Amino acid sequence: MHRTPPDRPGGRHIADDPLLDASDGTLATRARDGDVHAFEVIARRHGPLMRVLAGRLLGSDVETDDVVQEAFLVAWRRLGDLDDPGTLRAWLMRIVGNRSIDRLRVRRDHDDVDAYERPAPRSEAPDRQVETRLQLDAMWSALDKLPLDQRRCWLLRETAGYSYAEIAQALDLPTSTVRGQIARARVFLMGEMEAWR
Amino acid sequence: MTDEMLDAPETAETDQALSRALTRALRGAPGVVDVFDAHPVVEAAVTLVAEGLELAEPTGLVDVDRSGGLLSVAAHVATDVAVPTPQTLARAADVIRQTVAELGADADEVVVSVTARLVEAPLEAAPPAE
Amino acid sequence: MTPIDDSAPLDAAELVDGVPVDELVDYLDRGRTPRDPRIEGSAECRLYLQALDRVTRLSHASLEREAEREPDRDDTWITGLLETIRHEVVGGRDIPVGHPDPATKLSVTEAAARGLVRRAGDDVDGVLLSSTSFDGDVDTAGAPVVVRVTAAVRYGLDLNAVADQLRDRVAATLGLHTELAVTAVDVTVDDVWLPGDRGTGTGSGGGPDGGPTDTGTEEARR
Repeated sequence: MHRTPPDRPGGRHIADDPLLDASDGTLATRARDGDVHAFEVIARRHGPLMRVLAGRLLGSDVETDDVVQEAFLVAWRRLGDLDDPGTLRAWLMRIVGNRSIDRLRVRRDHDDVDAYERPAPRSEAPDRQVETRLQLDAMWSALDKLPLDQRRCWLLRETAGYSYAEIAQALDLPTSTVRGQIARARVFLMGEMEAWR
Repeated sequence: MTDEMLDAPETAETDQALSRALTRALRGAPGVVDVFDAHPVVEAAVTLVAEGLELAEPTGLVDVDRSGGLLSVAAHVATDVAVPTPQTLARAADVIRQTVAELGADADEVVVSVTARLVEAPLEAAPPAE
Repeated sequence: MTPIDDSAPLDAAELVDGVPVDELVDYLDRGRTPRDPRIEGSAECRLYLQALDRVTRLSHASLEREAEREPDRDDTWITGLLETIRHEVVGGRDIPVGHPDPATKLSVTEAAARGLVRRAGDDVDGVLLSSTSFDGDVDTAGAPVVVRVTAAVRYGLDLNAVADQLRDRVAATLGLHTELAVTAVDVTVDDVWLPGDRGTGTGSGGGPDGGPTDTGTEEARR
């Protein structure tokens, strides 16, 4: 089976690949114009955070790979819609937020909404700075302690940039409930982080 | 797509075989680095990614359309950046006509269309000298 | 660990020094502008904003950190994705290539031609192209075409010399692989970068020259 890999610019070694240092705006513009390699750089750069966000929204890591791949396919097809290529990251977070919500809807239709919920796994990789590590550990655990609905509302707003109305529509909840969920999440998270001043 | 309801079943099968044969022949044509699906665009399913489906055999990638006495062949290829693309395309068209003739799949008139959708360096090529 | 009491009614009118919490949240979201003297004049409000800001930043940072710590996953997910995408590159217009036989139609897609222009840019040291486009009836043989590109150039290079080099490469590669009648290559430099510098999110400005520089349209040399 004759296959060629995604095109490497000028045949240079990967270590010299200038696209690795390119801004999101440049990558998005090139990818919009058909540069598959630029899209590969985008996928490697933003895929990990998208996967983490999907995992926290879905409540487990079981379907995150599928959700992230779907998100990238959607992104590729709709790059022409991205008015400001510099906002690529936020745009990608919204798309993966949408795909995650769609998955939740499918689960809801099958009556196994949060059957997959499990505690957030931690990567075993060593860390850099001790002080910040403790704070980030505390935040990660705090997010994990939140009831799933509060966590979803919180992350959709803070990380995926949804408005209250958009969250309400996505999760099929009244807007007032969404505000209440986020308020509770905020109170809890601020309380948890008090200990780490 | 071949209108298989009107053609005799043997012709439809032959045309699929022709498409596969043309795909194989093109891969070996000088300057052709890859062959893409030339059939009318269909929305790619997400399952394509999930299942790691390969767009190759058993379906041929070259579009073969036969109606009346006219045989239309359309191929989409990736060409080698080290070879002038017009030259590669012309050779690819020759390969297509030869293959059609060899398989006895001629019609009264054969129209051949070859489109380069990508120009790239093949994997096996030596890196350019510094 | 105290269980979360999801049923306890939340005081919607929760106030910090007389200011509703919702108002403080919106104020922080807006970047604390325009400056509200009532809020900024209250120590309690400012402490609250500090704590809230910390929480939102830490929330995002904890996810980012987890993303960075993810073990290097195997490449199968990305290989499959890219294969699908390669086959979905929208071709754009078909640029005709001549052939003596009228029953033989050869062409190069506009997408392929853009790829050639980007490749030419990648071959010029210190240049990184972003947008590439063709002005003119590329699908009509012999029609005049202007190639337009936007580029980021490494700091310290002579912009005009680099633009000339780029024009030469673009003309050469399009001449080798297409039959486009390129009358000009228009180069706009809209960014300057330092080696090893990860670009900002906007992909524009930031260099000593500030805004975009149009090095002009020049007759393409063949």
